[in-house]
Amino acid sequence: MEKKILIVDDEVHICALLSQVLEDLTDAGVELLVTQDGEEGLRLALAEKPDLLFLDAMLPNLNGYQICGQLKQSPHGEATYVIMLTARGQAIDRQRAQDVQANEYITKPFDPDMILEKASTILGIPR
Amino acid sequence: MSTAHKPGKAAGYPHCPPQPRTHALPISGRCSGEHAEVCQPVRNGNTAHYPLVKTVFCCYTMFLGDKFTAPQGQRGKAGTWRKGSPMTYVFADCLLDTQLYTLRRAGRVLQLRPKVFQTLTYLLDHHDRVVSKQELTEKIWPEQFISDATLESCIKLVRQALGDTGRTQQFVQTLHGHGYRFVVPVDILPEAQVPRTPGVEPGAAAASRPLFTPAIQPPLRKLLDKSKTSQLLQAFLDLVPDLSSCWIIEPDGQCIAGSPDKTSMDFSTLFDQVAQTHTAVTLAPYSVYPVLLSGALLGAIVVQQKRSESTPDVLSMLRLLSAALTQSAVFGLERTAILRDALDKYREISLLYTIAEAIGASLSTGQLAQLVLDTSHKIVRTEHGSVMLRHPETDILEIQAARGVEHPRKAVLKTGIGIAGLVVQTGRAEIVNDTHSDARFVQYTGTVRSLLCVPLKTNEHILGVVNLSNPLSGRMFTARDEKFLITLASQAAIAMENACLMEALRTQNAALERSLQQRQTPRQTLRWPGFPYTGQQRYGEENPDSR
Repeated sequence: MEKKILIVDDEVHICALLSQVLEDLTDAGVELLVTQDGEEGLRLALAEKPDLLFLDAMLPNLNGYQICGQLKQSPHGEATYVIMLTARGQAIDRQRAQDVQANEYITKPFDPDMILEKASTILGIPR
Repeated sequence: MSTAHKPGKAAGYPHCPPQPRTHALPISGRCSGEHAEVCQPVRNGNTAHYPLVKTVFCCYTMFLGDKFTAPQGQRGKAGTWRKGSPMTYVFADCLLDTQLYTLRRAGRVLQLRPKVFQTLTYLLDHHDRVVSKQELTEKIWPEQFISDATLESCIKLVRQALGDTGRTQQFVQTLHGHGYRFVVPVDILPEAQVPRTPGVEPGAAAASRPLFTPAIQPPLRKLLDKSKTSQLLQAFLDLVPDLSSCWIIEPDGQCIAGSPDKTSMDFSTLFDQVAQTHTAVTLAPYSVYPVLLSGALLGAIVVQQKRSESTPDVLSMLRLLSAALTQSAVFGLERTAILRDALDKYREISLLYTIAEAIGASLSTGQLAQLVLDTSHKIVRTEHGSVMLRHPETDILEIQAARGVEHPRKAVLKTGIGIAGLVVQTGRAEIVNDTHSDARFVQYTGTVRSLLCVPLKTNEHILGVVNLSNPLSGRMFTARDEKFLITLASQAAIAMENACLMEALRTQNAALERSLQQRQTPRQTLRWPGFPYTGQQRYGEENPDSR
C-alpha cells in the first residue's frame, strides 16, 4: 500500500524545502501531501490517514497542538506518527506537544539529512 | 617590475612583427559570428589573419581550437557542441551571453569592454584549471606587447563587473606565480542544437532553454506537476475531438500521466523509433510524439485516434502540446535547482546553528574539532580533513581530529611550513586545487589533489587551522566552500578559545589543589615521639591525645 506523508506548515518555503528533502522517498512510492492551512491540515490528516505528519505549531485557523490532539483522539489517529516541527523550542512548548501525544518535537532550523533519515526509518524505507 | 609578454616569441616566431589590429587564427572552421560577412581570412602559412575583424570575439570559437569541443565541467550531454556556436555561461547570479555580448548579473544587464569580456569568457571557459598570465595575454592580446599592469587592470575590471575584488577573490582567484583561476562553478551551455522535428520549433527551443543544465537530469515525472499535467491532457482531448486518449510516457515505457486514465500498454517499439529519429511516429490508431529538451528526449506523448489516419491538425496540436510540456519541464528543472540551492543554504544555516549551540556547551577542543569536521563534511562533501591547533611553545601544529587520508599524517607541520602552516602564519584562507604544482605543499600522502585550509582565528589569536582535502579523483574546492568553512571556523575558533581557557583553568586549578594538598599533608601527620603537639596544632592549643 502506498505510504503517505503530510506536511502542514504555513511557511511556503518550509513546505517546499521539506518536499524537496523528502522527494527521494517518492521513488519508493511515497505520496507527499502539503498544505499551509490548519483546518485543511486536520481534514487531510483525518481523511488521508498519513503514515507521517510534519506539523508546524503556529498555523492559521487551527494550531498544530489542536490538530495533533484531535488527530490522536480520532479512531485511526494513533497510526500517524506526528513530528512537531517548530521554531519554538521552550520547555513549555515541548511539554504541550507531549500533552497532545506528538511523537517527536524538532526545532527549526532542522537538519535536512536528519529529517530524511527519520522519515525513511519511520516509514520503513531502506535508503 | 612589469614584464612585457610577446606571444610571437613564445610561439616560436621571434621575428613576427606585432599586428595589433589583426588576429592570427588557426584555419579551422569558418567565422560564424555576426561579422562573418566581413571576416574573410588572409591565409599565411598555417595561420589566417582576419584584418577586418573589429573584435576577435566573433572568431573566438575558432582560436580556442579543440578546447571548444567539450570543456571540462560542462554539465549535461557532452558531444552536443557545435564549433562556432554562441555560448551561454551561467554562474552564481550571473549569465554571460556570447551571442549578445552581455553579462547579466542579478537581473541587470552590463556591457563590458571587449577585452574585459574576452578575458572573462576565457577564464570561464577554462575554469577547470589555472590560466597563466602568459597564456591570457597571448589569447586576449595576440601579437601585442602588454604589461602586467594592463593585464591586472583588465582582471580588476572583470572582478568589478562580477562584484568581486582583489581582496575577496570570490570569483577570480590570483595564484601568485601561477596565474588566475575562475573558482565559482560554471555551467556552459551551447546554443541548443535544434532537431528539425515537428516537435520543437527553433524559436520555441530557444525560449524553453533552461538557465542551466544539471549533471543529472531528473526524469520527466519529477519535472511535471501531476495535477496540472492531467488537466492539460484533459483540455487537450477536449480541443482535439479526433482523439480518444492521450498519455505521456517516459523513455523506460512507463506511463506517467494520461487522460482519461493512465495506461499499462507497452509502447516501447514505437518509442524506440521516436528515440532514433526524434520525430513523430504513427502506427494506426496510435501516434507517438517526442518531448524534447535541448535535444534530449525526455519522453513522448502517445495519442489514440478515433480515425485510422492522423490528420495534419492532430500533428500540429501535438506539436503545441509537446512545446507546452517542454516548457513545463523547464520550469520544473529550474524550480528543482532553486530548491536544491535553497536546501543547501538551509543545511548550512542548520549546521552553523549547531555550532553556535556548541559554543555554549563547554565542549573540549577535541570534541569541537570533531564537530567542525563532521559539519564541514556535510556541506563541503569531502571525506578527508583535519583540525590542527598550534602549540604555543613549540609552534608545532598538533592534530586534534582527523578523518580520511588526513589521518594519520606522517609529516609534522609547524607555523610557516606547508600550506596549513602558512595559513596559520598569515591568517588567510587558501584554496589549492593542484597541490602537485604548488611548491609550498608538504607531501604527506600521494593522493591529495586539492586542499582547502582555513585559519581558526579569533579577534586576537590564530589558534590553528582547518584542512579539508580531496583525493586525485575528487572535485576541486570552490569559493563557496571556502566561505562556508571560514564562517564555521570563526564560530568554532571562539568555542575552541573558550575550551582552551577552560582547560587551562582546570589544569591550573588541579595544580593548585595538588600544591595545597602537599602543604597540608605534613601538618596532618607531623608528630614526633614524646612531643605533645602535632603539626596541625598551634602553639598553646591543647593536644587532644593528651586528654
